[in-house]
Amino acid sequence: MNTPSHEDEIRSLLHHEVEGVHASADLDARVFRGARRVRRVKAGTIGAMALLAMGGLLLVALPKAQTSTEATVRAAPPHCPTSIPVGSVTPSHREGADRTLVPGTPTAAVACTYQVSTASDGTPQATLVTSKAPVQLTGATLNGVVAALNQPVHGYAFRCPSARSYRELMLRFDYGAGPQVTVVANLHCPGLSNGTLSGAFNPQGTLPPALTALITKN
Amino acid sequence: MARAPRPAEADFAEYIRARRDHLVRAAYLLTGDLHQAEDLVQTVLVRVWPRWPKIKEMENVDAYVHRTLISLFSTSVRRRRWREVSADPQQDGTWTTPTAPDQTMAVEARADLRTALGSLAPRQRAVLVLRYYLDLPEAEAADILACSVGTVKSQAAKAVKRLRERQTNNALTDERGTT
Repeated sequence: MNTPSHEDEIRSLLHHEVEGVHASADLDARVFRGARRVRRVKAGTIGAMALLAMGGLLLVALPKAQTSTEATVRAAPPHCPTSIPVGSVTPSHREGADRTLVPGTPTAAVACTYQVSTASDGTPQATLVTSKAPVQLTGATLNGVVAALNQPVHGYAFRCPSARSYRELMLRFDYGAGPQVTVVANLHCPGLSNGTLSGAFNPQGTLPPALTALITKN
Repeated sequence: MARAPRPAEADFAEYIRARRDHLVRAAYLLTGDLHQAEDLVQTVLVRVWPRWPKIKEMENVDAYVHRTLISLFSTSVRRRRWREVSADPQQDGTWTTPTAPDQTMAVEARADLRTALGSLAPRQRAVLVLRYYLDLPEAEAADILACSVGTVKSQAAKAVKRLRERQTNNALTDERGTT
């Protein structure tokens, strides 16, 4: 049996071995290019097969397809999604979202509360606690929430890996024009994030009054 | 005008930027060649990307990526036997560590280690990387390799023993050479 010192020695050798090994800076671009190439090949193969098999049927279905393209995209009324991803927030591409949780001056926001629990198959899920009608924030309330959200210490991990059941508060900020910004705050453990920037108000994870008021309303 | 990346794409690109060195280093220890390591990681990430919306919601994203890395490495080994890398780290451009003249001994030690790693069976190398580079518990390594914890233990013990034997032999040879 190997003594721990042997294992530590191997561990140290392996880490020493890869010192100075770095991935190419364009690895992400190469991955996306590779993925697009794979998709094109797959789509080409499937498309060719589909065209051969459904040639006649395509002509019959054409009028229906034309109708569907006329569908217009209308702005949905504010609502809370029935579930949101656990442990991650979709990053916003709004300028400044990498420097402050809520960049600029949002014109309105909605707040929704979620219960995070573990499904029978072991995957965590966040389901809406209240109705789909969200708490809507405008004016002084909105300004108070934005001011509170821009105060946490940045760099704190957002994940809450050990907790199996806890609540999350999701805030979605609308600017009238341009991308929205979503901020999710854990109510069980410290950590909140807008997908790009993470932080915490304090190690205990307690939230400022402007935010706790929203949870009470929910 | 350049296309703005979709949120999922931006999210995945962020993951790649954060973990690319870590993944390429693990792949380098598996393959022994930087170019092969990069190709392997690229293939892994191309496989992961279509499933990213689901994967990113997992508690342990890295575990999924590591599993794919090991799986694709095993597949590539079955197709092509791992080649022993040159004892000269600079020969084929695979070694990227800058080395000063006074680091000659360190470079030789690294070359020895790479040769020793190359002499291990691919599965033993995978166990070493999972256990001692990625620092995964035996149970998680067993899960990724789809084998029992006992197998991980025995393969790790054999690999460590073999590496130590190689290093002892090299040290003895060096001593004889210098006396």
